[in-house]
Amino acid sequence: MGDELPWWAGLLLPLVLVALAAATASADAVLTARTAGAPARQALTLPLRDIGGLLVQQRRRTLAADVLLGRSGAFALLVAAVLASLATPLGRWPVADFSIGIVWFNAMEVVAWAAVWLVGWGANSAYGLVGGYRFIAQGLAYELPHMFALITAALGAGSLRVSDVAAAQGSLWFVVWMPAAFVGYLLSVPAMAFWGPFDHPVGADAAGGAAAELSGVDRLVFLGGRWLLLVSGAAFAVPLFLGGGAGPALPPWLWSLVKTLAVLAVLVWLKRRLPTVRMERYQEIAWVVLIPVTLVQALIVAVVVLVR
Amino acid sequence: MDLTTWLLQRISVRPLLVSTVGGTAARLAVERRFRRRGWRPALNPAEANLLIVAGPRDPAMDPFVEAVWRVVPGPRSRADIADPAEADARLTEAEQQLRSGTLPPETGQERHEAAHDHQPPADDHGRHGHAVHHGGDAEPGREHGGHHENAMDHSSHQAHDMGEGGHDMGGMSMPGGIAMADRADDRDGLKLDRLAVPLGPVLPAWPAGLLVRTTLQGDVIQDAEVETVRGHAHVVTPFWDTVSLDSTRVAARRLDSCVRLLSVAGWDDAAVAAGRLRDDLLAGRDVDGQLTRWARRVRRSRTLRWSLAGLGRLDRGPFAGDTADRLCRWLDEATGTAPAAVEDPDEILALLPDLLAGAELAAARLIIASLDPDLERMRAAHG
Repeated sequence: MGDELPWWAGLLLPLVLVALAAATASADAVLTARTAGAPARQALTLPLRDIGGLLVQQRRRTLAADVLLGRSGAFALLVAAVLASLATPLGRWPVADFSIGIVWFNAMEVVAWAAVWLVGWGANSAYGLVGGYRFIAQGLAYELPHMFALITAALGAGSLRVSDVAAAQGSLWFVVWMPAAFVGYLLSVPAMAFWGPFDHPVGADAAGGAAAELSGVDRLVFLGGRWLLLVSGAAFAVPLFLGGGAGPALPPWLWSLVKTLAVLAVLVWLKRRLPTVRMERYQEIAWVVLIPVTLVQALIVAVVVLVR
Repeated sequence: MDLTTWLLQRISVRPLLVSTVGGTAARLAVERRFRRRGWRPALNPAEANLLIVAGPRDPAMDPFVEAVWRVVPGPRSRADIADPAEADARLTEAEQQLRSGTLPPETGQERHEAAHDHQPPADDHGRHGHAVHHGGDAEPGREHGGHHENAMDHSSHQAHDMGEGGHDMGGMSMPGGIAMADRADDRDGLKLDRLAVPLGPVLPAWPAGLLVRTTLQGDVIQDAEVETVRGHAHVVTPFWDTVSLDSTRVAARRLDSCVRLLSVAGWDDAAVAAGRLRDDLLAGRDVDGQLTRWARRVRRSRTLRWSLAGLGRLDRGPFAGDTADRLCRWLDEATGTAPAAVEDPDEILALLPDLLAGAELAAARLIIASLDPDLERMRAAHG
């Protein structure tokens, strides 16, 4: 059991997520600047200057757009991305220590399915529509391995409470004896945030896909939601597979942050190393390789738990 | 100083780059500045705050450029750069105008409305048919689909175009004056909407002056017609012929194509590296070692090969193989391990309709990028 924080801690949660997202975006921008031969110091502040640009930009509308639908989609993405981290403990403190924290995370993450599609559909634009549907296909590929990975960790701890899962890794981190579940989970994080090699729903080939018609605040809300979802997903891997706040010397909350940043660093590395993975190709791998592998992993963990 | 003014001094610049046929030199100069200044190019007008038109002014491109400019949200600024030597100054000027917040007069109250796409009302050839002419000797597009289908589709074509100006089509039930799309069986026998979606000529990582009119069902192209957008007036000397040193010309040209193909494939890191190598080569720097390392990295990417394999397969001719094979050939030519093949854009344009029919949008973009027609080389007899 973690120590549940007072209600106002919930107000700090978005700030922590935003800080982590800004750090990740800055690191990625600096690496891009290094490849491009552009000044690195300028790249460091690029995410902030991007936000500034979106704040002063006019909102624009496409003809016959379903504005309410599109905006509610973007808003839902942002809200769900923050709420997804509600049960994730920072060290020993989750904002809300739900007894079904893992299911809660899964439920919030799945909101992205509807959100991206609504944004793509709402713009009444061919590219937006293509992007929206691409994400549905992507969901079909990543969601099942993702859920099996979540179940495997819960199985190992015998609890759906996130702090119990973290506490169950006192002697051995789950990443060590459920590596396949960890890999399955790690791949699903950029996929749910349509980021990194899984950015086809907002791909350059479709002029920005689901985000093709977004400008100003609408774009900020949508892309902000996407970044926070990425961070939420990465942060959730820490109590699930990486021992939560456990570690020598440093206080638990700092360990949580360090581990989250490490997961984000791996994701940035993956993004820069790989071209976009199209679902037309990935679907086969997801269903023929990932699902059976994560299922076998769940089976092994179940047997170990029974025998132990 | 109010907050908006303060922010305007600090916002990031997001340029949307449009290049006209004959504008390769200007485009390269502009792309180099983007890279050096750390400006990340926009993927669409909605994201952009700077519109850059690189290349000589082309009356055929004007309606497209104006239509895109209309939907770029403010604060915004624009620069037309015909002379590569002016690139630096014009970009700085445009940036200053953007940051000064003095918006061009029409932006204030105007509500930015775009139709289904970012394209101008360029459907009916009557309006500026003199400027838009069909590419490919064989009049592609007629072979499949049949013309009656196109005629049937015309209502939706027009509807999209009319939408731009907000005209009422007369129907009460038509949202925004857009007629409902026609339906037809798709390749799996499902009845799906047929959308007329033009690809280009304003699209990131797209060959200058190319316009492919597609009929989409879902994201599958049922039918594609290829046109070129370039004025009759100027006869263009292909930029790549003006690069004197043979090895530099071939390597830089291939790297330039790779930038587009890798961008469309979603591998920005490798694309940015290719752009930097290309610019260094053209500036006369020695980059042999880096070029070899970069080519090895791209060649070794199993994900890239897996992603490109099987797309746009051709059995014979200079472009034989699939998209992955063509990329490999470019890498060989860029590193000097294979002689450069002769480029004939007319041949590519004639091939496209057949290659694109039945392809998904993503595959179509990759196929076009892997052929990368340089329209500056087109035979003058066209049109």
